[in-house]
Amino acid sequence: MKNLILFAFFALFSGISTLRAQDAGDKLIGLWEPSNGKVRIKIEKIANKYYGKIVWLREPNDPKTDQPKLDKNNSDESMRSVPLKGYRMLKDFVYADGEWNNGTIYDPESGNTYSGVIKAKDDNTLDLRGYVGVKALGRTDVWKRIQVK
Amino acid sequence: MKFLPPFLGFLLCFFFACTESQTITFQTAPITLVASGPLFEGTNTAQGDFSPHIADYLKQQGLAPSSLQNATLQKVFLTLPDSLPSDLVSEITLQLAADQVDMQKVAVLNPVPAGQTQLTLSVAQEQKKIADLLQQNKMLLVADVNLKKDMGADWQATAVLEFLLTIKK
Repeated sequence: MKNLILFAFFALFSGISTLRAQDAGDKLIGLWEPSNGKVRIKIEKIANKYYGKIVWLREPNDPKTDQPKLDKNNSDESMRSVPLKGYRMLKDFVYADGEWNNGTIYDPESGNTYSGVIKAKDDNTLDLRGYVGVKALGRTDVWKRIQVK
Repeated sequence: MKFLPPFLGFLLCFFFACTESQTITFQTAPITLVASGPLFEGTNTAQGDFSPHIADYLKQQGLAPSSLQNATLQKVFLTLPDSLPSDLVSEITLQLAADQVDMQKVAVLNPVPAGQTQLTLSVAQEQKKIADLLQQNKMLLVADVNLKKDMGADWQATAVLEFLLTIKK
């Protein structure tokens, strides 16, 4: 009986810890703006991973065509008609040990995809690092949370 | 030395006999995609999931589940309900994902033709790990739907995916 109570206590405690870790990860959810201010990214959670898509562009239209901007730099020609508004540029980030890891960052201006790691400096500021191969060889951008009224 | 060419020929025949493959198609049942309202003008996320049960399908075809060598998504059909305004959606992009497989963009329709409810999306030429996705217990469909105006209710659509499977004989 004593063992059963101990087991139930342990199971409850570990369950609560897991929930707390998930809650901590959810502070990434919201609307964010990179330092260049060109886009705003809505980060949402889908099946325990975090994804960010472009929901606002400072210049939504291509100046050459005056039509909405498309993913014209995609290496896959068949996907170049995908509009940038709605584009998922952050994909598959998983929260663990105080940061969001294992995800990718797509740069629509170059068509390149980078590995990414995200750290929260505070509730309204993110350090988002994109890199190829080694974390040390990358670039960090600071993103600010946009307060939705 | 003079026995080498026949021996090489035998080896090549043996190699090709061992690697011979066939292709079959696998079509999913209709998968419901839902974006919970209220929805706003601009980009919205609709989701749906399904269990491919690809091993069962292969067994039904008299094939061993381990014989699946490769898979590609060939066609994506989307049906919009008649009740939706005919020009509500401007573009649709479809992604596939699973717990153990990263999300990938697989199809797009831009623009969505006004007044049409039966849509065929353009499928990505570059595809990765589709066979891995089919072997998961649950596959997730995520559609990014660009709406031209606000919508109070849920947005729904039905998707059918057709895969080409390469089977090792």
